Amino acid sequence: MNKHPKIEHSIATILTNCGLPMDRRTEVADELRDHLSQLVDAKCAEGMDEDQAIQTALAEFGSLAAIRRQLRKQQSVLDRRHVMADLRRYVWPLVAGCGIIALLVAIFAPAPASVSLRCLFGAIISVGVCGIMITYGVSAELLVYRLQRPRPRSEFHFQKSFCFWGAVVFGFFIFMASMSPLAIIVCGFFGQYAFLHSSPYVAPQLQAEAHWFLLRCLPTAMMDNPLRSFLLPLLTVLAGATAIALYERSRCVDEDEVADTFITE
Amino acid sequence: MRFDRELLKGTTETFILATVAEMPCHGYQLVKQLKLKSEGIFQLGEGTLYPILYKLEAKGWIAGKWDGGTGQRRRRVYRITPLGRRQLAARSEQWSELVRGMALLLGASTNE
Repeated sequence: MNKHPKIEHSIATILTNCGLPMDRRTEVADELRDHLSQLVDAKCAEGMDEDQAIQTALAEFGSLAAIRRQLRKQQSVLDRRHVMADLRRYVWPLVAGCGIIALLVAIFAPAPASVSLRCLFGAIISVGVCGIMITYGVSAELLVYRLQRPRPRSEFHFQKSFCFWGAVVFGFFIFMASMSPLAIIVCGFFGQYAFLHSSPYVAPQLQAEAHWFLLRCLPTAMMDNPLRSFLLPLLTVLAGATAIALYERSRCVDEDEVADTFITE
Repeated sequence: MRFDRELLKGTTETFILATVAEMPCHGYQLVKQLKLKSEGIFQLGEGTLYPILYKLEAKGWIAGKWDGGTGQRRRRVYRITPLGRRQLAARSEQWSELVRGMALLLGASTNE
């Protein structure tokens, strides 16, 4: 197939920042190139010279920006569907796991808790665990999915990537903080607290840690130790986001490789 | 004839399904078929066809496969799937009803 610079340039314009993964871009480029070549051939058969034929073919092909926009929109729907489909696979094991936790707590949590209270603790704890696992699952899935899809280096923006990963790492911190009294109701603080203090199966050290974390972490540590409560998380977020953004950049494909794929002058 | 954009919303998928259901075809062929079958009433912006094709493929209503080997032009040919056929049947039914309803309404209003 003849590759005309104008056609190749138009294809590259459509595919730049279109959000498609690299392997898919090559296929789409081949398909668009074939379509445009057929259009040009048809115009030439009608008696136009090559330049005029290409011009007309490109005009009939439609707005390149609109095609790119639609491809991008379409891809973002697919990405979301892909991530959600993966997550759905985790739901039943999670529910089953939480059910088992609830059952174990209900059976083995010792006195002084009554059976109904133990069942309640078990349910609360399992809901908390389920929430935690889902949050971890979503974060991990997003991380893996994004890093698995290399992009051209020219489309990589460090600031954007840094902000994205910064938000993810920050979200992780907020989530960790939500295990403290801030999210008492949501995470079932009472259940966790009561369980940790009533069960002899939980190591004393863990009890102490959990106690510190649940009761003192946010409300008091912020006053007592600003370094630990503000600076450390902030530095970790900055370092984490920078590291992941740099890693993402290293996964990008070289310019030369992209040029080879889409533009042949 | 130029149609109101709002009026055409959601119809492109049905056009494509109906065309591909008749015979498997690649993008360029599909545009030509569509124009030919509709006697020039419907003309797609040729490039905008592809995002819709990919969308239908993702939904599992059509399936694309590369045809042609060495020495030939490689072309991605689209075929309708059983799921696509069911979808087309459902849409055809809805369209018939819609057209009938509109004809009745418009007929009544022009007779008044």
